[in-house]
Amino acid sequence: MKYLSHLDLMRLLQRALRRAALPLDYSHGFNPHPRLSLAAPLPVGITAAAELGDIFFSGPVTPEQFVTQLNSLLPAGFRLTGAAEAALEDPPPAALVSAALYRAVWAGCAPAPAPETLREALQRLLSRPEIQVRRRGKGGRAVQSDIRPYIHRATLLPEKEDLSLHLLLQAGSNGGVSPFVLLDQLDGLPVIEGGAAVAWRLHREGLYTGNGENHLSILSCSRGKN
Amino acid sequence: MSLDEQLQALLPRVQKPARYLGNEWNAVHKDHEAAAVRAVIAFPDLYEVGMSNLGLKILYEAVNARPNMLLERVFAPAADMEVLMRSRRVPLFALESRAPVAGFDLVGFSLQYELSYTNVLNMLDLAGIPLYSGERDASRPLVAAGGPCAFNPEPLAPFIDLFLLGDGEEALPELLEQMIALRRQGAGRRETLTGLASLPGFYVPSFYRPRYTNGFFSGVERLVETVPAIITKRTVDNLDAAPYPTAPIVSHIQAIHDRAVVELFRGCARGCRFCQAGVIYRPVRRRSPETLKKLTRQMLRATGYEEVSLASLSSSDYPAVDRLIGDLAAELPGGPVKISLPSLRVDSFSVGLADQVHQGRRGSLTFAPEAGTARLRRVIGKNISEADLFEAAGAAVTAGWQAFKLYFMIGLPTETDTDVEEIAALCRKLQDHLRRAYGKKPRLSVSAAVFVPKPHTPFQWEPQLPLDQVRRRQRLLGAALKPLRGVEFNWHDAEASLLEAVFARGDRRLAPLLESAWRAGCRFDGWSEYFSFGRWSETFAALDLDPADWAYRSYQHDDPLPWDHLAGGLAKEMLVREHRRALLEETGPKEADRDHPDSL
Repeated sequence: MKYLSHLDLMRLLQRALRRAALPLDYSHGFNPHPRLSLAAPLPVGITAAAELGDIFFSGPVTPEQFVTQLNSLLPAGFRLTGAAEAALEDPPPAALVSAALYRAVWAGCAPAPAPETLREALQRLLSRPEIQVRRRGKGGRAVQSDIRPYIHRATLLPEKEDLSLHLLLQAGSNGGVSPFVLLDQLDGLPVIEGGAAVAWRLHREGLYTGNGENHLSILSCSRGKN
Repeated sequence: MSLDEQLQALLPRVQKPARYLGNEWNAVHKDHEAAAVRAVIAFPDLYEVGMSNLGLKILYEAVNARPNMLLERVFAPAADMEVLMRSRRVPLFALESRAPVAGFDLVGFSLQYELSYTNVLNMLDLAGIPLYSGERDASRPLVAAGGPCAFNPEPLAPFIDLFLLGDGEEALPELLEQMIALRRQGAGRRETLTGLASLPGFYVPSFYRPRYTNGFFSGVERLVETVPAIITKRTVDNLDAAPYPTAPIVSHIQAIHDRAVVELFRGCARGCRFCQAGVIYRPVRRRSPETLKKLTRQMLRATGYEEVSLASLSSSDYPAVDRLIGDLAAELPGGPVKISLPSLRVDSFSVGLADQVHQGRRGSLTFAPEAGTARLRRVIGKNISEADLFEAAGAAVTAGWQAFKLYFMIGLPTETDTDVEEIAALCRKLQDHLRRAYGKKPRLSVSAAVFVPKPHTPFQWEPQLPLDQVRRRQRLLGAALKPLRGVEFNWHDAEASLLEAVFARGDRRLAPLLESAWRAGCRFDGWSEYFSFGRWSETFAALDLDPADWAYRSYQHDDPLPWDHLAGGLAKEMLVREHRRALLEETGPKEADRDHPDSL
């Protein structure tokens, strides 16, 4: 499922919602679709534990009904973990997102580098004032930009079995960077054919709101409200 | 390393990895141990193209509905995936189970168009299955093929064990049941093929040998007494009772057509003389409105699609189609659903239908006059007058349509330069008419294909227009359209069309050429990014073969044709008659003239 693009995922969810025969609210205009939005697009190739979204209904639906019904209509590999009613005037999760936390685990295509090597590579990268990368921008054209400001935190995790990292990266409406792009910038690591997309397994653990140094998990915010 | 592990390393490195997952909603995963026979349908094009194919969905349903058999899917891997699969020795695998295609009992190719043939060979090779039928023993899967090209499959004959002509929803399960029975009897390869050749609609090419005299095809002889001299196609009589995909697979990525498809009827009674589909899918068989409504409801409930397409060869010909649309629009469950109605006639009734189903902004409406002059339209049997076109276009602009797409063909029999120039004149007259009578200036898009004479049509004896003439007339049309404002011109690649004609009218002598071309790197010949005429030309030259011998061959009515042993559905005398009438510029068959009970 991680191989679906954001648009594919939207279509998949919209169709599952239609199958569920719930009283969905549809957008107006020429191509009415269920009013569903996901908080932050998930780059292709990354699994996720706690994505967020919001949906509008035109009739009464309880969160439990919604979760149970939809889960029975989603393909394997995709599941709703919970839902809560929100007030109409609440900001949508998409507006709240400022950062995303990823766990990168060495995929084992080659022997893992020593933790020290990785730590040093990270330090070298983060100590640079600028990290210029070329990425495909909107419309497919190559765009050069500095991704250093998007990296809030990069920490090696205490090694249990596999070599793994936590990466807290900017996400949301003010721009962001894919963890793969960042990992491809690390030097001194074994070179794997296909780059970071093959060398590391990526998992998005959660979405965060806040700014600068202070980030709060959006989920815990909303749970707090309820 | 297991295939799953190998794919973990491959999928992040290819475009659209979701093409290779196989876990779509409604995909059927059956236990291989529990099935008495396991088949895989191999579609020789990309996932996105194959997933739009209705035939594949129908066969998937027909086989998987039965408990003792299973049918999975495999599509042509994209170029980037193929490179990785070859370098890492990952064999072609079926999507649902990821089992190697070479391990199935039957591999069935869907032959939708001639330029997919190199992909057929490529997929056999990727699967590790020997290319030639004669090289495959009982330990290998049976390799079958069906679809429109099965009506002249001779260029592929040495590579395929058996072809199915006609409707597959009853024939394929029947074939699989026979395979079970034959295996139980301990039948070897040859006995199996002999047994299967006795099933109606199946053609085992190794039991027939073509003859050539002085370099020309002169007939086919039977090598086995028990097989028919002429193979008749399979026809499902009752479409209401036939299997239909009520829970079609919902593709992960956007397929060319990503919507529920309801087949209104099969066959077509219009009688256009260039059209092979009109012959091979006859007689016309309809589904009842009740069945259609039921199927539509079930499909939408099972998929959540936002759009349903009412499909057929000529949808405005379905009786009371406007009432059907009205009923559907009123009854559909689950939120707003767009109804689309492709393949409409050129008349104001059809415009009314298009209007009935449109939602929101009206985009472009498509008409297919096919020829620029009334004379040539009579020759090809397309009974559309200029007045018809103007009336339909007028109705359309009044309703708010702002653009038209007009389909034409270059190279039709008896065509002259004037006929081609008249296409531009027709467009100008249409623009003038719409401006004067309605004050509208819709955008026009003219699309010109190249005529390919198809077997089993009244034009099967006609040669294709030579390449340099095609190019000249394409330039002529381009120049004639240039002064017109607001007209876009699209044309099909003349060289690709030449190759299409070669294979459409081809015989078994082309098989070595096909293999050579594939070995030289030809793949995805239907895609302009991959088609290389240079490579094909070199292959022809290397084998001392001339494409003109097939594409430009002009036949007499009593000449033997390489596809005579395959019955398309209309007696040759009728095709001859229609050919003669075409050359006399007589209009297409009228209802009263047609002696088949096909009229809708």
